[in-house]
Amino acid sequence: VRTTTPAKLDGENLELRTQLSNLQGLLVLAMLMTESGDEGQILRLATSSVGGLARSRPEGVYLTGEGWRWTAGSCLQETGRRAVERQLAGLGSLGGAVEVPGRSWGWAYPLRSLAGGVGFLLVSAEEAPIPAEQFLLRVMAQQAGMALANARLHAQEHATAEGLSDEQAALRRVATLVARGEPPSAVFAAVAEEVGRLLLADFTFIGRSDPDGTITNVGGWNRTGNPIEVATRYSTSGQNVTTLVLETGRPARIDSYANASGAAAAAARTWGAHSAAGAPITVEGRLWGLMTVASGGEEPLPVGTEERLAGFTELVGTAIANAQARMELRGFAEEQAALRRVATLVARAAPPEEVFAAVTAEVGRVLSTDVAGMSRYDPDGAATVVGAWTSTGAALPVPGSTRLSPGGRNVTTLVFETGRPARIDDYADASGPAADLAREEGLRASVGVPITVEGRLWGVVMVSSRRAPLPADTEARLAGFTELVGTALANTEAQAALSASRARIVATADLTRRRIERDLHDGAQQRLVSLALQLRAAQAAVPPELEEFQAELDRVAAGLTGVQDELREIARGIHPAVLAEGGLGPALRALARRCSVPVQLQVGMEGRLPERVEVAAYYVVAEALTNVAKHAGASVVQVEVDAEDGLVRVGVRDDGVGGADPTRGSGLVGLKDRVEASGGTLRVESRLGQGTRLLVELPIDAGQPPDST
Amino acid sequence: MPATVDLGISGLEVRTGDHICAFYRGAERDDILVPFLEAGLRTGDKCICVLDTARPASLPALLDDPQVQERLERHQLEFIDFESSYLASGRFVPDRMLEFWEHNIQSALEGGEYRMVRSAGETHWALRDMPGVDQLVAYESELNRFIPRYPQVILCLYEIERFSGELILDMLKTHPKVLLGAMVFDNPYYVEPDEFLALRQ
Repeated sequence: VRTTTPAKLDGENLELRTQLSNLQGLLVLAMLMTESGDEGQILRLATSSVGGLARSRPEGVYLTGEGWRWTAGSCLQETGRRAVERQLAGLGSLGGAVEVPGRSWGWAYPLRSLAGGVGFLLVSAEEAPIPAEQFLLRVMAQQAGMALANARLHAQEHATAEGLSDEQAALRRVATLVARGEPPSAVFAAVAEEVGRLLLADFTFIGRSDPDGTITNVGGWNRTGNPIEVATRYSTSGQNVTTLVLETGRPARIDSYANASGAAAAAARTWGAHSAAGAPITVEGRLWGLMTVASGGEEPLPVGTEERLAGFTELVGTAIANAQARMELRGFAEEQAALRRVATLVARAAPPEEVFAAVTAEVGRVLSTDVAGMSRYDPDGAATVVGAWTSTGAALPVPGSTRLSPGGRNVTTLVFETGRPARIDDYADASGPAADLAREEGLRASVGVPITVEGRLWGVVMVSSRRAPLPADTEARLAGFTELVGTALANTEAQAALSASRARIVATADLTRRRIERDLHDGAQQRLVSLALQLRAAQAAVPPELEEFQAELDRVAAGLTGVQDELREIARGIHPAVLAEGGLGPALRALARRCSVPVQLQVGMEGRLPERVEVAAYYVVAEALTNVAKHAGASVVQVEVDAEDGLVRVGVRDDGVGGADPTRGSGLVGLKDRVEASGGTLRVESRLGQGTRLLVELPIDAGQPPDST
Repeated sequence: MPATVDLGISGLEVRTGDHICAFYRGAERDDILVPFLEAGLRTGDKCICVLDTARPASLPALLDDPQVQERLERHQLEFIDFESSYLASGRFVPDRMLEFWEHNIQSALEGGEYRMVRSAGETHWALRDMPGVDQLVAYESELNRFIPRYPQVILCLYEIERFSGELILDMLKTHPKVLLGAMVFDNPYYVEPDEFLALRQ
């Protein structure tokens, strides 16, 4: 059972106890207000406790920078309120007596923290409350002020923390994109939106600063969700955020477009922007561009917006730097691959036309240009187009058909005159036939690099752009290709020279053989024949009884005939007359008849072929049959000769031991030389135990290898 | 001698005969009410809970327990809604409410099954515009005279965010103990009913 303090009901004691109880209650109330942290709750508790602390009523709360919050019970009319406001303006931060219309007593209690006033609590009464009650009201207002100040501080901290964490999250999302290696366009779009939402802007704009002093919009965001037009260009002039940022390289802001000028300001006005902030984007120490946010609201963007932007522009800079590095790497790899492809063509001695076409295409693709071309110089500087490529695949001057006269200021002429790389950044300033052609093709800029073949200027490789000047490294990158072209040309020239010289050797040898054959026929053979005739005549004059002598003369005559036959055979082996007279068919039949191994001959053509071809084919068969007779141990040889599609095919197949090595023994090697000198090919299949097969193809009219010059 | 009573809330203890005012915010109500009732059931007290509704669906943590269901069935735990208690006659009459407690507590203790009664009352009904609700403070003060007559503890629940500062000040004057933020204050400036009611005259 609770024992209560015996209460003396005298007035003084009761008053004191009530005062203490109220103070205790106030402390709890203060605790409740502070704990709540909510401005509305604090003011509600404060005003609703006024009646409990003193015989009075709350009229309202006046908050600095916000105005009145009138209490439900307040009887103040509009005019009365204005009168009170005027009085409050005259009061210091400590508040004081206020005349409240219709009330005999009024007091504005300051709501204040140590840092300063938050506002006033206005209380009125029919009669002035006793000092003890007024004291309670003062304490209560003080406690409410502290609680309010606390609540605001807390709210501010909370907002800051939340803002910070939002910002961190946004930065993290963007950083993830950057780390993933997303293309800059994707990063731009994402950053624009993140920044716009985070900074409560209506527009975001990412601009690239171009060397010509313009700024190009490369990404943006718009609160309405309408797409921002990308690739719009603005000149950078006048007074606006863009020029401020680009001139100083530092964040900048503009609180009103009223006094702004220039293209960027005009654009901002069309969007309905009232204020804007921007921060520079630097890529590897160089000012690359900027990011701006703009607001259509009447209130300027919050203080610090431009600094917060800077956190994002740093990431954008990193994304761009990454992408550039990747592109450089990828470009390098592509260039290497392209060079390798061209080098492969060169190594397998592809025809120059093929090399030219490949080089222009590879160069055009690797350097991402609109047009690539290659021309050969004549001694007077005129250039003949030998290869051309366009990014669109559109038709260009047909290689070989366009010849540009020298003269004027253009890349073709400059390269010819100087023997060094040359460039034209704008064909508006160029002249001469080559420049005219470039303008016709809609080209804006070109770079050309000379092709030299063994120290001589041979031609030029050129790339051209329809839009902007070509990057500074274009010359260096082209040089890698022109070196290969030079090598390819040197190779083909050397190849052509070699072929020609071999052909000349063979032709000379043929001529020599024919002369020897003719000499033998006309000289030695004729003399042998006349010697044989003289011998026969002499034999007739010898008396029959001289049998021994007769027999001796017979032997001499027979020997003479044998020498004649041998000489004929030699002459035939050198250059058979039957070939010159009757053609390949009869000559091969004669060869077949004399071969010690049975020959099945099949000649599937009629008429004559060029002498060079007939001679080559004859020697192939003659040499092959000699080899068969000597080494193959064959029982039969099949010889087939055929002419088709401008080629003569000669096939010799035996059923002998096989295992012939075409690289050994001068017979096959000599044959190969002879065939290749005629522009043909020779193939030997000779597996051990499976006979030997020789296959030769000779071009009928491609006498000379392609001439590159 | 007054015995120690486990309040069930973070190890807090009160004494028999205590009249406690519990201030809470919104969802904190169950954090106070549920342990308070559970502790009563555990120690074998009769538990009477006057809520704003007879169907205390808002106490799932408590009612999901099958043991609690069993206690409900044998009336160790009783839920009573405010319409059949505080506002039983359509208006609030302090004397009737005191009679209500008297009747319930007597019958709980009669059989000897329970040695103590712990009661909890929600007070949102006092925010309604009903006749007699202005008598709440006087009733709370009168309760201080009623409580010592039986072995009991009464916990009055006030939601801070809905009651006025003035009422909170009055509750501080009429409750010898205050439960606030997991603390029980002995209220040194509690005003005895004789004084308090005399002041209000």
